[in-house]
Amino acid sequence: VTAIIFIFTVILIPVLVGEFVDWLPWVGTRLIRRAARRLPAEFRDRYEEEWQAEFNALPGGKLTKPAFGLRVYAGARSTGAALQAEIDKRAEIDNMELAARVLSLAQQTADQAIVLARREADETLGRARYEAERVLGMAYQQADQIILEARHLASAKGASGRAMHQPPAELRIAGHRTGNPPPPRPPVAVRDRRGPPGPRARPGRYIRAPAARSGVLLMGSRKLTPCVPLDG
Amino acid sequence: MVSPTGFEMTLQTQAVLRVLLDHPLQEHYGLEISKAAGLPSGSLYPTLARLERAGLVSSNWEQVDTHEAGRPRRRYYKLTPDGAERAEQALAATVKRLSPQPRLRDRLRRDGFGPVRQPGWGVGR
Repeated sequence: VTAIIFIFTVILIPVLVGEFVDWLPWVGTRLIRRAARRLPAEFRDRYEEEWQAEFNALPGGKLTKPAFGLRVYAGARSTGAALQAEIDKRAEIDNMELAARVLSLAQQTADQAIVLARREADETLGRARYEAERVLGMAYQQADQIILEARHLASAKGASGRAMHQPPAELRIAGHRTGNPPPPRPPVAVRDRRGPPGPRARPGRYIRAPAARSGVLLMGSRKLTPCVPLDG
Repeated sequence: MVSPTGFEMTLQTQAVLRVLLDHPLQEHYGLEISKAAGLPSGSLYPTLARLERAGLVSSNWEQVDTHEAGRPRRRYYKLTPDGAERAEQALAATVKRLSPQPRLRDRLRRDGFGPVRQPGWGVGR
């Protein structure tokens, strides 16, 4: 056993240590290659060559080289981040240049698109205006009908001719104030007990009658007014 | 801390810039800068990459026949003409910022405001 320990200590360990030390530069080279792989692809060759040159020029013993490799490997992530930032910046500039070029090329098309959009908007506006006028026309028709009914009711109840033709100061139809109202119609008193009931104003019914308020005839009101029986 | 030149003025950056500014026209390779600045190679290359990105430093390959020289070519770093000026300004700004500021009392006294009464209780009229 003593002989084996002697052989192991005196012969084998120095051989193994020598072998290990001889492998250290190779480890350093491998570390440099690994470190280069941590960089963005376009910088790998450059840095690997640069680090390899530094590695070869290193003074000192065999331990210095793997130590250099380790340090380079440890700092490679940070180097890669700095280089990646450069790539990103370059890409951003490229994108901006491309965008500027595309924009300048598309300027004519954009102008045409703007003209078309404006035309379309005008047309839409025109359609909208037409629609509004159509609704207003319908409102006038409804108002005419109500006014006709009210006139009939008023005349049936013996309203005087002067009151019949007394114009309202202003007319609102379907919530719109109009400056060009239909011919003036008299206000209607639904609670008037004189004369026969009109076609819609019958006792016990509620109608939406035009209401006069401070000289303004309000048409199309949603308020229901009760009809009072005649001679009640 | 980001300086007006647009890059971070860390201690490593300052050390590298000082080395390059010592001989602004001379080209230096990594190992040389590393030794002069006292930086390990793990910190040196990220710093150089950042300075290169900021446009303060430019690099180029050594003009040498690798077969004849028996070694790979080196990468040389140098301050750009604009970079030298910017580096000087950045270093000067850092030095100014880091230099100890005189206390308020000393500044007032220097500016002619006379002695400043110490705040405290029981100051008589």
